[in-house]
Amino acid sequence: MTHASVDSQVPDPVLHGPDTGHEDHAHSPHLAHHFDTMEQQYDSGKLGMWVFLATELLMFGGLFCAYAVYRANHPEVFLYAHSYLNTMWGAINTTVLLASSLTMAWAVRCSQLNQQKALIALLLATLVGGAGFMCIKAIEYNHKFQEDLGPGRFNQYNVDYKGNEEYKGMTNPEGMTALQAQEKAMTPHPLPVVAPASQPSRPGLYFDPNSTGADKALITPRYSADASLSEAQASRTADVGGEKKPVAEGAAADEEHERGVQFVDMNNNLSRQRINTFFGIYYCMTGLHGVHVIVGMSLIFWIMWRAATSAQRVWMPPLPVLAIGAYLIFIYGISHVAGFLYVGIPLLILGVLWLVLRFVTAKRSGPVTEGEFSDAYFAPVDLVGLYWHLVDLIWIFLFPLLYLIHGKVGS
Amino acid sequence: MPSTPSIYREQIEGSPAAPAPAHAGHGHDDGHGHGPGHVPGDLHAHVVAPYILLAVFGALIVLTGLTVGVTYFDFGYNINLIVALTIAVVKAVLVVLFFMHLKWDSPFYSFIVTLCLVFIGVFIVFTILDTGQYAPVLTPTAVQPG
Repeated sequence: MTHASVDSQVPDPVLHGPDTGHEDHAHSPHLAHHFDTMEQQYDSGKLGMWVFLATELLMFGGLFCAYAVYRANHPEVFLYAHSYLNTMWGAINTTVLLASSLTMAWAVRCSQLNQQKALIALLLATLVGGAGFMCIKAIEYNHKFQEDLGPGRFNQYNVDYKGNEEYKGMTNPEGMTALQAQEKAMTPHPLPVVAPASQPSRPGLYFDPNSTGADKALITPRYSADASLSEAQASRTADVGGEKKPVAEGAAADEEHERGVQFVDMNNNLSRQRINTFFGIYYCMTGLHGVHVIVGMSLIFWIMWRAATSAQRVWMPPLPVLAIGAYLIFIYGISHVAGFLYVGIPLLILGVLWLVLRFVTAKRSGPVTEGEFSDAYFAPVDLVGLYWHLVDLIWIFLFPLLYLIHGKVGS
Repeated sequence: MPSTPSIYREQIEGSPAAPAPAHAGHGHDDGHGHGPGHVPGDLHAHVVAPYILLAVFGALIVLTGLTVGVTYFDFGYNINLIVALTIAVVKAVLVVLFFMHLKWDSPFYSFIVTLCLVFIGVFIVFTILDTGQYAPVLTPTAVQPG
């Protein structure tokens, strides 16, 4: 084995004897065999982490692309559907995540300066921030589930939603997946023949930047099933338009309408599917982000364990069990789904018992081992910090894109 | 440099005995590079000053408030979107530069991130350009019973 690099740690054969490759006393115990110096090891790790973060960005880039394409084509859907999201919770969650980013950045600083106690405290604070984010996320998701705005068929705008039977018969081909179309084609009732009408406008939700509400009746579905269905649709449109007109024009115009959006035919299956697609994008983006928060919290816990002294390690192992138990009980508290309680309470009891056991059996004597990190070796703290900041970074874009859609379309 | 052997000597004598003091001198985080005590090859990373961390956090909170507050003013759909995204980009740059240390790190990491973002931009822009090129619905025959 040779040291190819002419670097600082090239062992002097006179001082160190024959080069055995890894028995060099000058090496830090944290230096892996295949690196020459701690600096080279640190830089390699950091380069690897940044490349990994780039792939993370590319993965989220696919979701942002779906968002951008859909929003570019259907701005009215986003204007309407985002009013289901609670801006206050979104803003609070942004603040919580930013604060946890601060504590993480400060934790990296502490690890570089050998401030071991502060490092543990700040990593704990970061974990609390992550947990707070997940709790608020649970409140938001729960609220949507209770409004029947869950993902997929648990969304009231989905064709397969349990309350949507009456709409299934008039599915527009654009609102169907290939599988749904195939299933329909195999049913005894033939699918209505669909032909493009001459009207160039699109069916479904409409927005009109200059709308006074008077022009709503002018908009007719572009695609109609057959003559009778077309009439049925047209009358439905007119009915809905007639019902909504006073709402949109009157002083009591509700919020989503006063933002310049006109919703012509909310009973149109196609419109419903489009709103359902918004929620699909919402759940994919926030869900994948939430998974990243959980992964980040796990990594931070791992780093905290490595940074801890043997005395601090006494109380650490039961923490995740306690946290998960408490989280499940919290979810029960907001959703009243008993299953969360049945899992959460045993976990909490288990965690408490484990914690007591840890303290009872803890060694009172013997040497106290120090944490792993110091000014000479803090790369894991730094790299986990980078991951946590990336989670924050994604949310910085998700928040305005999902919660803060505003303005008049087309202006 | 004629003094190469003496540098080698200094490292070999200095590194096993006292690896730590090389960093202790940088504890007061002024962002300056390698001090006189720095040993080449030894780990040396920049420590971010607390006032920078707090200032960046404060700026991020203010910008979050701003981006929420600006939605109460209707500048039009596109302007509102541009304003929201601009604020988000400023926040992201703050996080990347200061919390993620890119300001003090090798420019190569910034290059990786920038390149990645450029490709995401190409991906999104070309996909949006492409979506205008198709009929909005399947042709009717595609879903007719055979």
